[in-house]
Amino acid sequence: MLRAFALLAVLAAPAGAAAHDVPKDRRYATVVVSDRSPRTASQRTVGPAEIAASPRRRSADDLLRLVPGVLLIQHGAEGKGQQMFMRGFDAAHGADIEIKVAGVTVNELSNIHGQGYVDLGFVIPEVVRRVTANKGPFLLDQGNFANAGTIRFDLGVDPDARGSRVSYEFGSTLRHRGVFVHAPKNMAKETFFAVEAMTDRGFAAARGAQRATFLGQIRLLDSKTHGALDLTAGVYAAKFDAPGAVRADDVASGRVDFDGVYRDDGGGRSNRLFTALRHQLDLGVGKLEQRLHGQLRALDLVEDFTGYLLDPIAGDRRNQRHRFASLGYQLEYRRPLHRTVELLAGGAWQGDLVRQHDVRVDVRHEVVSRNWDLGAGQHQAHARAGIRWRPVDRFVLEAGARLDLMAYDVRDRIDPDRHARKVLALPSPRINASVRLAPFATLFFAYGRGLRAPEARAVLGGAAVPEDTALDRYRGGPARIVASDSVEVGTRFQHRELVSAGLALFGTWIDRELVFDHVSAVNIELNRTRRLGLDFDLAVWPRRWLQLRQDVSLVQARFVESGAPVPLAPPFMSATGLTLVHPSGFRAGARFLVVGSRALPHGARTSAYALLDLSLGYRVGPLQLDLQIDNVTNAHWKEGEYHYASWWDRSEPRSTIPTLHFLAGPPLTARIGATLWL
Amino acid sequence: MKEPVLSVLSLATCLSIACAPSQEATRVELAVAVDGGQLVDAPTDLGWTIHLDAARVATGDLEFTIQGEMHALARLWDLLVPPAIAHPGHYAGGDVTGALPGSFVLDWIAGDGVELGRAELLTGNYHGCNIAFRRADELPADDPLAGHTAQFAGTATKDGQELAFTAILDLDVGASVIGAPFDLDVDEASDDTLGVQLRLHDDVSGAALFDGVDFAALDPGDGSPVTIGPGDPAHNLVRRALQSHVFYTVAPL
Repeated sequence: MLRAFALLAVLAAPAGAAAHDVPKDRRYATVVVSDRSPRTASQRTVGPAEIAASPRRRSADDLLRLVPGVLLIQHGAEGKGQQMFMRGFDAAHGADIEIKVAGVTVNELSNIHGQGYVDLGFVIPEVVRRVTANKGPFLLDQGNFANAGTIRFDLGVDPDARGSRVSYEFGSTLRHRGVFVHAPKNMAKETFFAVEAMTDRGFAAARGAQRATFLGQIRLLDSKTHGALDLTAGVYAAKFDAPGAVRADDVASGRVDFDGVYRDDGGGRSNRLFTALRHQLDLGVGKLEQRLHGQLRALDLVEDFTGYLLDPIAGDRRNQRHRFASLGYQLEYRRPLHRTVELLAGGAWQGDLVRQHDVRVDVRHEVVSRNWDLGAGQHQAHARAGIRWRPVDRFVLEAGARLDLMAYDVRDRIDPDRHARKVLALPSPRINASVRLAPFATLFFAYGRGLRAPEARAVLGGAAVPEDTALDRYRGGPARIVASDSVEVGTRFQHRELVSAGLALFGTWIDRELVFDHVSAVNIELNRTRRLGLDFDLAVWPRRWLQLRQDVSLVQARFVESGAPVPLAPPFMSATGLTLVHPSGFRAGARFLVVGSRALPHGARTSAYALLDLSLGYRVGPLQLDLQIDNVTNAHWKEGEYHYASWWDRSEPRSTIPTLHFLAGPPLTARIGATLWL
Repeated sequence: MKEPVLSVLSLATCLSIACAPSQEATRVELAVAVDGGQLVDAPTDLGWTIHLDAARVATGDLEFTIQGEMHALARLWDLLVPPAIAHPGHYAGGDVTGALPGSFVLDWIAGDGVELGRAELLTGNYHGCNIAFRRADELPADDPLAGHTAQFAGTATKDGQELAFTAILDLDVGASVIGAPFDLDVDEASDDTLGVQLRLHDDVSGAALFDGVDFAALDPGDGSPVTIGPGDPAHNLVRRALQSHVFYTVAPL
């Protein structure tokens, strides 16, 4: 298949060779992103111009930052999945944010490092056409992990940006990144071939990263009778460091630098083979879309966050290995039932084979003890049905339900007698409605139930009861699907293509939140929580080439009975942005992000911080120059802050009492890039 | 030139959001002492009434835990999967937020009221205490507890028959009591002394520390006391019971 892609790329090359005669930057005619029919008040679409001009775009992960209210924390180096937060959820590595690439959910059920682990390293930012965020679980096609919402990456290259280009980027962290994109002008916007290679030494010790990626998509068929057929394929290999966190008291006493590390042997490797085949067919009285997809994944990690706390001799390094193969099929069908009513139906199945182990290793990374080693087969399936009712132009109602099914067959490879099978199901009603009050104002309402399936390891647990455990207090519970109920009401004002403003008030309630601590291998069930908040956004387009944005997210995430805050969830985020793509060839992006102090466990709190990122670019003829500056003010900031126990200095007494730890955020860094349009 | 400009910009951005520094959790120190107040005579399931004249246990660190927002049934998982490793961003099983590190011999008879030291605790609503067992290797060789974990001596009485007994118990390295009840709201103003209590009988579960031990069957019949030691079936019964959290409580004195 890769050969076929390469051959197609070579054959199509002449078609793109004439692109260099474009005198000015006409790739983006406008920065205006006018989503004419948003389905909820908080829906946000980030268009190609904003993506291309955005600052801090090192990888596809960074494009998530363009979604208002999304906070990312990298507690490894670039290449490790980021910790994500949205709408009062600490989604860890993706447990509560569903992420789709080319229509395929990339959250990994039962990943050893975190439920729903998301690694977007295989997505090359230059071929992301659009990022769409649907906050909350209000749409019928939002599935597992969408408690906080769904973010979709559409791949492709828009007509204005098609052609062939080769880019090289050099960064102040000794970063080298090369990209080649070939998007034949005579082919559909879905078709492209892209190759990326990157190496980066990082801003401090143990922050290095390397990756190589191929990603391609081709429209194989575009026929009125047989429909459109798109093949997407990607190959990705990455290597990255894992610095771990440092104790705040050690930094204060000068034992370790602000951006220092205790050990420099942590890190990991991530590999992926991704493919999807999408078929779209217009049936005349209905539309059919089906997708067949498959993935092969490998993830290896060595991390240590606690020093010698657990093993005073060999240390607490953990090696996690995850192997994952999946095959899936999706079907979506819609057809009008009446002049005002449309049927929405669909379903999907995905089957995975998982093999994973978690071991404690010593300084030579040799196994000291095995924590777990299991093999699992798992299935995710759902069926959904609903209607879209539009009795009058100004009112639209979508209502329906989906039934999600999860099935597991898990075998413990350390103790072969431990074997469990489980089937779980959850129905989820979804409804959203919009009323256009005036040509420029629309009111929205939405309700939906979100879900997060348990991971395979949780299915194995709970069978035995410790002999000394009083069952009246510690009644064990089986693995189950976590359900959340969310509502959102809001409004959006859109005046032509000059201004757009939205306000969404939301609430999410979870009766019993199940959190899997992937390092301690503990499934923890939490008390009832509720999250109340608002998202506000304002976009102004004084010119078609200039966008000014202000996004504000406020969330109060609390445990209902105690009133205590949900740890780590950011209560306040503000992003002020500018996107400029001038026809003269000049372009710029700026983003000023403010993140409020977050509650940590046990009454501790993180610091608040503000970051300013800039990007500048100019295109003259076939040459485009770019400059990106992250953290322009060189703020001394802590990207990740945590509260837990560790023991690094064995000359000091061991203490199991939690204390502040943090990971330094990158200081001022700059990257210059040149792109040659061939 | 460049540095001052960046500093001014940095200060401006900081001021604009009233930058808040990180804040560590509040810590308090509380004295911990041995409390023999709960060690009263109690019956076993076989009808023996136990009276103790010596009750000593060698322990390591004492850890105090909060349940936090963990739902009660979640603790089962914690107990099933022993490693409690904290990790950024995630809840760690068994949320230890207080500790009295060290090596101790808890003596509930002769040492009743003896202060073990001052524990450091984060403020919070406490629900449990973990007690690590060890071998008392530091004691002189003529001490009956030397090299062992626990020593009990006393009498067992049933139907007018009174038998003296001694029990020497060895627990494995790493053995501990998980989740002994410790219900206390600790705040900045707390100055309680925490008493570590041992009891022979748990009224809630009905279990007793010497359940299953038939002292009559162990009686050598020569007037010497019944002895329970490593290798005896009775040793295993008592050793297992000694690790049960129901026989311990930590409470303010």
